[in-house]
Amino acid sequence: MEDTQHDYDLVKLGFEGEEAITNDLFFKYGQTYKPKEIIIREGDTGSEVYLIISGKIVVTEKVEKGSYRILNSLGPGEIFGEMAMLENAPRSATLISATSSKVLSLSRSNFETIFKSHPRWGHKIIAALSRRINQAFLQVENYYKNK
Amino acid sequence: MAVIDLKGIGKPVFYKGGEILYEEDDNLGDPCIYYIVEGKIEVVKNYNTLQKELFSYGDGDIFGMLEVFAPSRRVTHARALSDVKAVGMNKDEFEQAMIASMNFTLTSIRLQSKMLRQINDRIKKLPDK
Repeated sequence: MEDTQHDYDLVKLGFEGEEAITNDLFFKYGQTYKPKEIIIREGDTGSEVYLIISGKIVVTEKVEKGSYRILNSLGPGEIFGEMAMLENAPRSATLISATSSKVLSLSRSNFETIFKSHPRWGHKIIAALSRRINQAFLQVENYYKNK
Repeated sequence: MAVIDLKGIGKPVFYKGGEILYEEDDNLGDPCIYYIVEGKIEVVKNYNTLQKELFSYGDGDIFGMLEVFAPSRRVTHARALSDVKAVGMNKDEFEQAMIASMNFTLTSIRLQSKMLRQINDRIKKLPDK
């Protein structure tokens, strides 16, 4: 039941296409993660980029064995792992599924194929990244303000 | 870096070294997003009078996207570090450029992602209060 409540939030957010498109993409490239399951680990290599369809995923850094500090959280329509895909950079954080989450796991060529057929997704991804940057700015600003 | 063919989208703009393109709290102008053909730009976010974040852009980079999708007023300021030749775009033209060129889309995503990674690196280093 929890799973279906999270389904297709990406569509509700106004991503181009209909539920059927997301359904089709999920059938081809989708992965489901359970709560507390690690999706990618800081320092690992890998070239997939992930697009969140539903659920909540937290960005963390490991502080000690088995203990993680949450840096921020991501939701439907947001992307992660893109630097590994675009620049072969190692993963910069550990991403953990906070709820049951559905993501598209895409190689660079699959990513390009999808964006060619759904060009407005690029725009949505930039918007989502811009929101995260503004949130991060606020987080740092508040830190210095309250210091 | 090879120049991306924007297929005539946007308009050419030129800035002298030292010229301010926009300042914090400015309303978004037209153009508001820039593709640098040649030259260097710095974008700065001031957290307070002592702490700031500096982002550098050069040939083939795109900047100015940040505020177009969220707060609608500039939260950073941008200054030309050298004479700059660029293509200026409004939001609609930016979207057209992304549709016209996958390379432009990937460059935009990479630069926003790099900006986010730089701020997240600072957040990681902030000592617990």
